[in-house]
Amino acid sequence: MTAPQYERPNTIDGVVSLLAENSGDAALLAGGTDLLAQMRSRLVRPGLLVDVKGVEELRRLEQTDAGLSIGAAVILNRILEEQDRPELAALVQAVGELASYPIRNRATLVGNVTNASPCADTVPPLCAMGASVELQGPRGSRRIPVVEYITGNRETRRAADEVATQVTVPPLSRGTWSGFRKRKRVRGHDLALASVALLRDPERRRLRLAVGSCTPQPCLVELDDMYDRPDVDEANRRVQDGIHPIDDVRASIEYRRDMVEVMIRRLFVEMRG
Amino acid sequence: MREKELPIKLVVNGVPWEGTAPAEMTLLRLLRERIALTGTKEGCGIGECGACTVIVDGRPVPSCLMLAVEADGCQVRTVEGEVRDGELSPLQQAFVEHHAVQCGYCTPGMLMSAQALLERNPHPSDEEILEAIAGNLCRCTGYAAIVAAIRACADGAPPPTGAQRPETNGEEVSRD
Repeated sequence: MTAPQYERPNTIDGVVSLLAENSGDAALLAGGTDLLAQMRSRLVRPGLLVDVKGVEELRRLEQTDAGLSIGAAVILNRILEEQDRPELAALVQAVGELASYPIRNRATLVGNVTNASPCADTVPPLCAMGASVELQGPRGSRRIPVVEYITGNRETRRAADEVATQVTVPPLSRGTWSGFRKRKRVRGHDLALASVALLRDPERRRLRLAVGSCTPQPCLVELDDMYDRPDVDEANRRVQDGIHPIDDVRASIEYRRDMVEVMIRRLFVEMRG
Repeated sequence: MREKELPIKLVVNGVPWEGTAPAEMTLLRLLRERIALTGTKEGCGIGECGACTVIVDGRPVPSCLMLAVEADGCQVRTVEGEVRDGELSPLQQAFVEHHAVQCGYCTPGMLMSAQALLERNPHPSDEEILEAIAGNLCRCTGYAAIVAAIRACADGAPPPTGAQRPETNGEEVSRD
């Protein structure tokens, strides 16, 4: 196994050029908390590591007209430290339960999305909020909703010569309520065996439920038709129809389905206040 | 064949260090093998046990998941730097007094996580202490003595109200 090379460009164009020149053999490095673990386990063997943290724009976490823009190099703890708007509650809760505090000082939100593990904690809230990913490459830039960006277990629509530069959460209506629950085996650092995000937007009359760790691609269920009379039994039925959890070391199919139902019920209770 | 190494300059425990490392060498290995600071331990190598926790630019991080080259230009603190003028830090002293060390393997990482907590939040609640060390696994002590040591260093913290029984994930799971 040849050892990888390392580059730290300071522009997005520099990142894109390196990806284009090293087709398929380059890996993007932001927090490194997934990539280095995968390299350690020999699941991936990139010939080139392209560190994106040298690009100043990718370190930005800011409100723009398009919404909350989270750059590729923004660590998760900054989201906890700098964002306390109530509409973002589900996302902030999910970030707060992701891994552990030291991991979150390296791991990035964009990395969590683009690594595209089915257990990714940020994905259900981002889907419920209608967030999108921005990609830049030699053919220009494009924006894809998170719910469409992830297509399967660790599969995304990102081409090998594209870099995910940011995730944007569109402006949410005032009075938007959101919540998140994560079921783990232990109280500390653990992946979700199941997770649920619920969002209610009173201005747009939207009710959205997203489930994590139960499908290879994101699971988003639109319950807008029951906005006026939320029916938790019907919501649960629609979700149970849409998920196909697996048996693994963390949980059985039955337990995952059971916990999804419990978390949906608890979130509906919390939403009612 | 020696692969090409990258130049690295950083400051460790207040002392500048300059050298090189291969791209894939982790900060953990650099500290242990090239800077001879073996206090920081490798427990799992994949960021799940916390034994490798060090403080980089003021933030506790898993050094097994950081490349040495990523620490170029950074201020790094390891457990060796917590002793000042031959004296244990208040937190280290508290660990001794509260019997928070058994085999000692988790201790350096535990100390760095806890020290970082006290520096950003001098009066943590028990919940905040547990959250701060949730990434540091201990197989020996059962954590109570470690939490007691950290609590003892939290200035003005209210006296503990007795043994806490953690509920599953912090809330009861029920169907109502």
